[in-house]
Amino acid sequence: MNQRPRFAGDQSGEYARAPLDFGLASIANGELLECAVGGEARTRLEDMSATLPVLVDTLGEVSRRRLATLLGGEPAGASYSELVLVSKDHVYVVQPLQNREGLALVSVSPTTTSMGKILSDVHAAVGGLDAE
Amino acid sequence: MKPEHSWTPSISADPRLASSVIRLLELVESTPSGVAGALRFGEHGAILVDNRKICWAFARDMRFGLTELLQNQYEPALPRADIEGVYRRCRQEGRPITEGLLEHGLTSELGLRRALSKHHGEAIAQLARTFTTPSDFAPSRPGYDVRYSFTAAEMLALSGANVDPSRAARAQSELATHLVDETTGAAFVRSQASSGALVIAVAPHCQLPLVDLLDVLKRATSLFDVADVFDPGISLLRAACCERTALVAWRDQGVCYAGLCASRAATARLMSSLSERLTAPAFAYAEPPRQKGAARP
Repeated sequence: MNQRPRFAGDQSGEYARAPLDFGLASIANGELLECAVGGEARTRLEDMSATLPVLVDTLGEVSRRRLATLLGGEPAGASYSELVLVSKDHVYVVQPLQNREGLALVSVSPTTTSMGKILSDVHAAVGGLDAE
Repeated sequence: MKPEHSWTPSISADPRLASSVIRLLELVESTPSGVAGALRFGEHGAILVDNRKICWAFARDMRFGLTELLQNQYEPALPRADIEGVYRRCRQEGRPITEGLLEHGLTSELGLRRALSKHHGEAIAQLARTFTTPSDFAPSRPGYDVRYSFTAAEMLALSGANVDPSRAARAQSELATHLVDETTGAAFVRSQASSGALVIAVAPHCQLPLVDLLDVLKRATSLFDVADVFDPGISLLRAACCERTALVAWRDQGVCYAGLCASRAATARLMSSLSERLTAPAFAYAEPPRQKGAARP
């Protein structure tokens, strides 16, 4: 992500996108591997990425599968493990990539009023990365 | 109505006792599904169970009985003879006592449920103090009204609520406000006394096994702890369990909440409700105000 990602949140288009910054991080060591932005957004992405090994492990695979079963879900699909964290000012999303094991797309948005748009943009970005 | 916190089960903050209560409730959950019977603790007492729900419990050395609880729901207290008269008539007629109490206007459905929960909670607390294991589970015919039976999670929450009844009442109201169809959940506070999470409220009829409920609450707490590292203002999170199901956790005024959602629609509705509140100008994540305990509404 050395270049501006094609799924960047502030691109113009018919669909008004939420302000959103992305990075690609290692789940194993929390390193932010690729990120096109600087400043505060980058710092936030770096700080969040640093916690990834613990964050992803906290609701471990076994626990997620067990919960999915109890709730009548489909534990076979438990590799789907999106994590959304919301503060008064920011929305953070961690989305492990299905086709790039050990990597997660990390995103931060400085707005909490467009949750649907934020998630749509994250999913579109994940789709793009998984298709690469 | 009299303030009720003067008549609460004697669960203490003693970690060993809290663990003993959880162990007893897990025993209730381990009884056969669909079967009624008694978990007997020899001379110490028993817990009567129907389909893994607690219908009745008694123990030696209980500080108060159901009669006292019913009497003291009102100011002035109901005459003891009135209540005992109903007990007698119901026994003679072979009818449930609950039916007679309601029929004679000696309590309401809600009042009866509260009194029974306190009675059973006190019995379980006393049984927990003995640190004994049940001598057997003796199957019996089901005969209790399901309206007045309690899941293990409900009973655990009722016990935890006694630490701060007004906080528990607020937490129960918060769950009622936000939990939607296809969700269940619980409210809890951090506690060394109960393996990290003291459950103070649960969604009505929450049937999640205690071991899973406590596990998810601890994990929700841990997720917030990790999130605090990069943004201490995070007060709402959603963790997908699979493509359909999710854990939604939030915290407010020192209380953590966990909502377990069985569908994407339920997750979306819960997140929407909570994020609306989060972004409202009046909302700010804050430690709980120090208030003296008040009676549950």
